[in-house]
Amino acid sequence: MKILALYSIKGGVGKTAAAVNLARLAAGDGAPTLLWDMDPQGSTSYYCRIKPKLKGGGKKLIGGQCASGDLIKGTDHERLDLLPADFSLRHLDLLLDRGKKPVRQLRKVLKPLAAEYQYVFLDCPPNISLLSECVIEITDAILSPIIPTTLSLRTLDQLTGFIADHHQGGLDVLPFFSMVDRRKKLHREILTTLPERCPGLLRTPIPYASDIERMGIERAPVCDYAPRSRSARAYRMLWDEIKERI
Amino acid sequence: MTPSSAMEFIFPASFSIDAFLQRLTRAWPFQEKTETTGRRTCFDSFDWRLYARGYTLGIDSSGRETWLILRQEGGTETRRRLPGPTPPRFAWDLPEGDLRTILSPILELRALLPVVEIQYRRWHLKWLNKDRKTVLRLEVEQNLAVAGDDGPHPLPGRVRILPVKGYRKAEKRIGRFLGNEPELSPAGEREWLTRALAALGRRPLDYSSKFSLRLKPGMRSDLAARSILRHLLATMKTNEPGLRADIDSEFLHDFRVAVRRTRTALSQFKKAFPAPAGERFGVEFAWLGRVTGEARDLDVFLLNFEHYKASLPPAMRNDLAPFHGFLQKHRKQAHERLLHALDSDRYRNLMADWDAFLNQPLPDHPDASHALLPIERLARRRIRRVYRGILRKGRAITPESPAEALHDLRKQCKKLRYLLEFFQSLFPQEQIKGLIRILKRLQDNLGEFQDTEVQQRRLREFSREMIREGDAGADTLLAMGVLIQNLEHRRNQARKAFARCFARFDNRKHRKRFKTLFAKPRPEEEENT
Repeated sequence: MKILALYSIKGGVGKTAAAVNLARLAAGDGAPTLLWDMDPQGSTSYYCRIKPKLKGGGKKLIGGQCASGDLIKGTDHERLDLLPADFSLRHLDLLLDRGKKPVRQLRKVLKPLAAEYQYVFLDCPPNISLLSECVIEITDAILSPIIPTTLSLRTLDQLTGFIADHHQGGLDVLPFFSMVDRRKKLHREILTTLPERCPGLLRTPIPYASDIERMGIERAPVCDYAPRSRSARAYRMLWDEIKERI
Repeated sequence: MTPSSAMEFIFPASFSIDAFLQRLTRAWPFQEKTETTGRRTCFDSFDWRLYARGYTLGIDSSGRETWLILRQEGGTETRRRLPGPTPPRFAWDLPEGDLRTILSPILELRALLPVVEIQYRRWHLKWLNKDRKTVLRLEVEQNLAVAGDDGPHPLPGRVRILPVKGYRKAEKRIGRFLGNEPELSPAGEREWLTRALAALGRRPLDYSSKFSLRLKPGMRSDLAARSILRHLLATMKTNEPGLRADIDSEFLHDFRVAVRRTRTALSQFKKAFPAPAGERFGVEFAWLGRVTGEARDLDVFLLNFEHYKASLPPAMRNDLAPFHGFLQKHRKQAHERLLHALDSDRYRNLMADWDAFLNQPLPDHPDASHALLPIERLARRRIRRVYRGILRKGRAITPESPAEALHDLRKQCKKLRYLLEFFQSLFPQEQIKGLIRILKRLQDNLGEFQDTEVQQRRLREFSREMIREGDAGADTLLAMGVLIQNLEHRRNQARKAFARCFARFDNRKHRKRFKTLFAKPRPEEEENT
């Protein structure tokens, strides 16, 4: 089981859209895949047409009173399941902090699922917190979307610094460009200059496209309702690239 | 998870699918219905290794997509997209991943062969809730066998419930509905395959390399010996096409084992047959063993090649590549020579005469002294005699004994092994299996000792041939030299371990087990038989 976290310190960078689309592509390749919506906003759950609700709330899930397998819901796609969000996950940091050894608690949630799923995608809330520290500990790779703007680049530096402080190495940090608008000069510039500075950067940029915005209306991954679109093709290429790197 | 047999149903080829789909969609809120057509080929090894372990493996092609799908009875499904419709031939042809991990230890050296090829028409139904979220998927499949001289053949169809996690209610309700359909019977894919094969006049598990034949204790010995030999002849005939087509190395291996077993049976039951016949066939089967030996030798080298390579220091491993090329070239030539032998009059006559001999009527008053003996008595007598020979020869071996003494012992062990296998149906199964296990441990040791010696000798011959043929550079010869050295080390280890292995075989407990099981019947028992 490979755990891949979609994580960014900054919000609104296309994290959830990437999580849903990449997980859908992984399942489409034949791999049993789980998406874990850790964000209390529950956008991933919404895209999957599943209520952002956990029986017993996040407390029972983290506390181990409720088996993670019992809370999982199948999505509209074969081999793709979801561990839905819950509004109580806004206190996930507190829940983890309250118990002993927060990393172990988080691992315990996923451990029983190891035989069943080949990939687990974590859609993380945008912040730097105890949860982020724990996620960094348990994942095999961090997939971090960056909008090619100055502020986003700063966030990327913060992220790499944060990971260097909290992880001993062996973790793949794979940033990728997201919401790229080639009409903007700054976007084009950063697109050409950043790869030199950031060797881990994935080559495929995800465009800023109305196809992706439509996910909220269609409540499905782009590759289902617009399979031939530029965005769907970009996610496909990005996923192929990620598979090679992990 | 509910076992998949409860999730899958089979219906007869005559079933009216249209009417069923109408009933289904009228009763339940299936809102999406799509239809696909495609082809599926089920694969297994010649000896049904997947079927025997509850697996079914299929290649499913529909539109541009081709999937390799492995299903386990009552459990999981593992699938992988294939770049094209060409099936993988061996487990090692599969891309790295789950499928290869599961299939490699099961298939080992065996190739995948198509078992049945079907054309399907499949209806995919989705049950959506008020948020238009899928809560259940259902597949209905109509099947037609593609192959066959008399055109396509209708096969049983299937209904599969594909439950969506977390929506048990829909799954239970539809399960009950399907359970009440009179023409649907709950059965998984393996059961479907069994029925599909039956419809085509085939039976799974119709071949196994293990010797298995039921004998009656009171049977006259000439009759029992003939049954054994007929069984072995059938094994040779079954393996011959695969051997000729060179599908995988095990056809030749199984063929040769059947030849060896035949030779053992001929010598062990010689007093059950007229002497001249036994002698003539003994000579002919020895010839068949010889002409099939060269190709097998080279097979063994090719099969062990990766192992050989790994035994070298990393820097030398690539130096062995020319040797691989040499082996492949000679393997091809050896196979051609083997085909030539199988096409010869000598082989054809042997097979025809042997068949005729085994099927001629048994004389009421045979001349052969053991012909009328009840087989159980002959079995006990032969096993006792060979076993005693092994003990005598094994005990005489000292660290100074020549290698031939161990080789001779190995031959005796092989004879005993075959006898135990021939006659296993006459004795309690568990006890026979236990004795075979004990014997096998000794055989492994003796096998390692002799095989490493033979391989060393062959390697020396190969290196000389490679020089003659201009195939070998100094690096390759050097690497082969290291292989010889490694084999010598293994041979010495095996020789050192012999005393311990033999002592384990020759301990009191095991001697008692042999003695009790194959003891001479007491006179009163003999009278009864």
